[in-house]
Amino acid sequence: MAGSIKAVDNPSAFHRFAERVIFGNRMAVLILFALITAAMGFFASQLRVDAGFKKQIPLAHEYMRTFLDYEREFGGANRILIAVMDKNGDMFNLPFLQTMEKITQDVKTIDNVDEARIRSIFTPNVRFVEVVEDGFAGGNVIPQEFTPNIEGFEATSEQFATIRANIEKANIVGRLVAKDFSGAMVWAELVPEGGAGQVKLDYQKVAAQLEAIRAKYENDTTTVHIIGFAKMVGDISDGARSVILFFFVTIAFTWILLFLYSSSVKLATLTVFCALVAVLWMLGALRLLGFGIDPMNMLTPFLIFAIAVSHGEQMINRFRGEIFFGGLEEGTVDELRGRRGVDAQTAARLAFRMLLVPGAVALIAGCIGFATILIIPIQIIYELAITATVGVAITILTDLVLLPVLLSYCKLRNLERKREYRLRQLTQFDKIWSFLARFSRPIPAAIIILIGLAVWFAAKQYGHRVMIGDAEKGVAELRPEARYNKDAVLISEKFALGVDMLNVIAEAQPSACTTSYPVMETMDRFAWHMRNVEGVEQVMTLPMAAKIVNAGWNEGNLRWRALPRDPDTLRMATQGFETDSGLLNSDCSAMPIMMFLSDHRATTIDRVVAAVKDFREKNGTWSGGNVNLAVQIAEEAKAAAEKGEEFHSDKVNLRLATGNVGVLAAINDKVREVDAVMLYLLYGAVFLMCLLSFRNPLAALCIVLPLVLVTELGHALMVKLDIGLKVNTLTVVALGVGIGVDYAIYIFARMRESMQNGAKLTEAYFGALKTTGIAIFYTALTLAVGVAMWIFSELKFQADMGLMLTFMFVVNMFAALIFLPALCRWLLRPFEK
Amino acid sequence: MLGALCLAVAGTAAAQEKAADAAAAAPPAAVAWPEPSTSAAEKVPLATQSLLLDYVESGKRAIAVGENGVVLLSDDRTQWRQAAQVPTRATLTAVAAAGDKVWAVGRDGVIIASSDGGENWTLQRKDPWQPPGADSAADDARHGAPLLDVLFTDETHGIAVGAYSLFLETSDGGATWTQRQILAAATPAADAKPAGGDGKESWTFSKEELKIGDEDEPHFNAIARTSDGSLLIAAERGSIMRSRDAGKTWQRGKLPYDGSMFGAIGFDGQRAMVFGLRGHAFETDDLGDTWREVPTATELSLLGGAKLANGGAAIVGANGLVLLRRSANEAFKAGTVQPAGALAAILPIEGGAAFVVAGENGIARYQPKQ
Repeated sequence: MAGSIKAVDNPSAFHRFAERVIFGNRMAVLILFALITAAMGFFASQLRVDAGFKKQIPLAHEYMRTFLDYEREFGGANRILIAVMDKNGDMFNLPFLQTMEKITQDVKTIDNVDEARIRSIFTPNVRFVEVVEDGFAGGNVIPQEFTPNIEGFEATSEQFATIRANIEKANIVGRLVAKDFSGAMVWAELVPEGGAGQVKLDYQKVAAQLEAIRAKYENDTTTVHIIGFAKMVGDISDGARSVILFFFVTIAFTWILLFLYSSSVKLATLTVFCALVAVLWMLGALRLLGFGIDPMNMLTPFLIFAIAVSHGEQMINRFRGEIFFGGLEEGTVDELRGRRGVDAQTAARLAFRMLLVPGAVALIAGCIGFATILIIPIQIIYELAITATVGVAITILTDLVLLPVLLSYCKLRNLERKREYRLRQLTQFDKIWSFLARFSRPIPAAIIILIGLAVWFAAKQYGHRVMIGDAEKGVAELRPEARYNKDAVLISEKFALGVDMLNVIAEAQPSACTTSYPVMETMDRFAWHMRNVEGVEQVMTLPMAAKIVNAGWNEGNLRWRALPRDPDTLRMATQGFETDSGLLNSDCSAMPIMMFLSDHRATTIDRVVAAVKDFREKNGTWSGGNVNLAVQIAEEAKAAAEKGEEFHSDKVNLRLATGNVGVLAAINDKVREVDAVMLYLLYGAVFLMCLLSFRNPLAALCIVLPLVLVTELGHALMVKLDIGLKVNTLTVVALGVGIGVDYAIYIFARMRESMQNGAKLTEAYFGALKTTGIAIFYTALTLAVGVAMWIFSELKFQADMGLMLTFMFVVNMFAALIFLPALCRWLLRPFEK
Repeated sequence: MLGALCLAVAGTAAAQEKAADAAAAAPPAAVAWPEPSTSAAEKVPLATQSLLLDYVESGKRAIAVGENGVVLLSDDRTQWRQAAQVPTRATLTAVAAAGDKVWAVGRDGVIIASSDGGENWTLQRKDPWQPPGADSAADDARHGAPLLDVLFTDETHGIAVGAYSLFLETSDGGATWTQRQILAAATPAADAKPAGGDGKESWTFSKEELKIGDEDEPHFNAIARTSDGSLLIAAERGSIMRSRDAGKTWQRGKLPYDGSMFGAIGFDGQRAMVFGLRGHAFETDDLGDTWREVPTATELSLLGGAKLANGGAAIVGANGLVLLRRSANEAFKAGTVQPAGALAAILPIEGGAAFVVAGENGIARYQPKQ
């Protein structure tokens, strides 16, 4: 039987060439690898952690164009909220107000904070207005004579009462001051990334500065709670560092598994070594591509390590077969015992010859798996996809070139004992293999296919409910008990407004807020309409503020809380608002309608976004995708002015969306859009690769169909575990498929060889299981152990990904072992007995 | 090969992107801006939390009106539902009932009427502001002025008052409304100098400066009727209008205070009370010949009120303030409704044991401390 394989007996021209190049220059190959490894090691050492807000955003999306148009005027979604709480529940005491003033000052010193947008009771842009007999009176919330941090200052209870009254008049309860006056907040915003100044924000530094503020002011009486993207990135980066520890644990586990499998320190070490080389190269390549390590992307090295080990295992498996028995490990124990092994170099050469094609096919299929993720037009995903694709491509070199060359130098000690161990290993599972082999008989195969169909259908129904975006409140990347999420909960409890904000920008003609009642009325009506949508907790917009001012001009009479129609009175109601109020831009041609949402769950976002779209459709207040009506009208007005014509327009364009929820809505949209497309592309690519290598569409189908089943099961699991389908998890599915396909390809390649030699399907399957079954089992185990470690990560999204990937790897293995033979029976050999 | 495949995938992504853009770029059909005064009110789940400005009772039913043409109905004073059909979205500032009929008035000069207990309404009048020149009426300061209160003495006779001394009357249940200049006939009172600044930073213009020339046409903020049929209008900046002949002739009076009065309550005989800016309230026993200040112990503006039995009164104002006196000679006791938004109206329920209030946060229940 040995040497009966076509590729081994009659290597193709390609095989001969590849073999001659590699095995003819073994030393040169090793030196070359050593040099590249040294260079890549150097580059890898220069890698820096690199997180960015815009990296996570699909910048071409309609909503995000709005976001980019207005991030300078209204700030982006890059807000930081610092809540300072008094432990006794009363903020009106001197130490608290001292702390509050100091923190407000300290926030100004944080890198890249937009000083003009800092708001707290101590900043001059927070004012109160009250009605007196002869008009309005206004001032800062903290009276000028109240100077808590000046030596010798004594606060009186009257002063506290004044401050409290001013806070109520300024209408900031629930926003800058806790509803129960137990604390107050500082709002800050970071300057936008990129743009003309090419601002590159160092989020970790900002996060560290924020943490320093917390450390400085948190004490027995005061607590400090910080939320915002910058803080989140900082916390995620910190959490991601724990991954490095996991990495070492994973290496140790993998080595132990490999040792148990091969009973050889050398083989186990070589496999791990080659995998580490692949990881090092990948990290070097990242640096060369100009990327950094993104905290969201920390897991890719793991993945590459796991993939490299699993393919290395196949190589080791084949190598041992040759070195122990001089060929495939088929036949009975006695038969095998009688066979002679070959020397290490020949064994390595034969293993190389045998695995070059299936190994490369499997890896390229995986590579395509990752490359399909590229269709998500989000920078961070590009980086992930490219990183993973490059990593897998590198694995082809390390596992299919470096490893066999190293093996060819490998002299195994105690060869005889190892041979016996292997023989035991081979027969150990015979009962399982023969049981599995029965699945390829017609009737069990038919039953299995029916079961598969039923499971697929059920999973599809259940998996349909998978939620796009976040399924839970808080930051899904972090665990619910993480400080950040606890802070977020506290802030949303103590203050009326959470951080979840969706802003629609109303665009109109210049000075619309003083000249166009229809524009203002439409905005007001829209705001009220949206306030009535479930999930919208509060709405803030210029017309609402203008109505209050109009009542103010009318002595605070509530019956005047309406928008005046004539431009003179309208102007009086709106001219008092400065751009730093965030309610209008400098020429009042763009005004946000700010909606504070109860949470950022996908169902909430979908409901609110749908309500916005419905309103603007019905009211003709939308100019179409990516139209900036403010710019368009300003040009029309200019043209009219040049001709000396009067120009007036009451058109209004309600554009989605800025604010963090606007960003999430855009991301969810993209995920939804690409979810199905990506999977079909993925299946298509795998199908094509299998078709190319096995020249049989039905065979390709045998490999792809189990993947489809497992992917649906993956979706069902996500529903079960309340994991939302978002950018992170979407990639998991692609990664799972990319790796899951390996098992089926290795098994099918072996079966095909046997069948081409005249073996019947059941025999071929039994043979494939016997020779590669253990390797596949160990591979799945290795991969699963590697990713299962993530479940203990401090970061929830890593834990979720770990769980999902473990599931995908294990279930893909079983699907390959059970459904592949059943499908082969009915698709390839329906009439064979 | 690998590179080519990756490129192919990326290419597909780019193509998709373009297709998506093309689909999104289709401009929607133009829809004209709907005139709010004649557009139907939207029925919304949070109507009870919107700005509500007045209450009235018609038969067993209580009716509340407010912003966005919201009309709320309740038979038990606990559950409120929005009226079936309201033909305007203008802010409704006041509501009145007589017999089986109900009228509500508001911004843009709208008057709507219902003869089925507030379920369905018809538009009787509207006068939204138009730019000068578009209409000859545009030159009148009262054009487009909001109506601020309404009073019906029976199913046919009613008066609506509003900004800039706008005075409308009907004698056919609102089928026709006639505007009347009641100030011209009245004796003008000497306008006292308004109170000076209180040392706080003031805005550039005071109301005084902006309203030069308008002062002979003070806003008519509220109208009340005493038991003998006399009428009293509480107006802007200490002005008062009164009529002892059911509105045929009017006299202008002046309070011993220059601030505006936002509400008026008529009691027995010629007894009446007005209240308004910064906690000021005044009471008269002779329809305004003489006034005495009622102590309220507050500087918060008083925006609305209701008559209670035995000359008692309930008055509401800014910051959730509720003032209550159970009889004519009692002093007012203050309470607060939380959340402390401005209140504009109050309605006694459960025989006066409790109240419902209305204001910027909508409807709330107020249970006075005994």
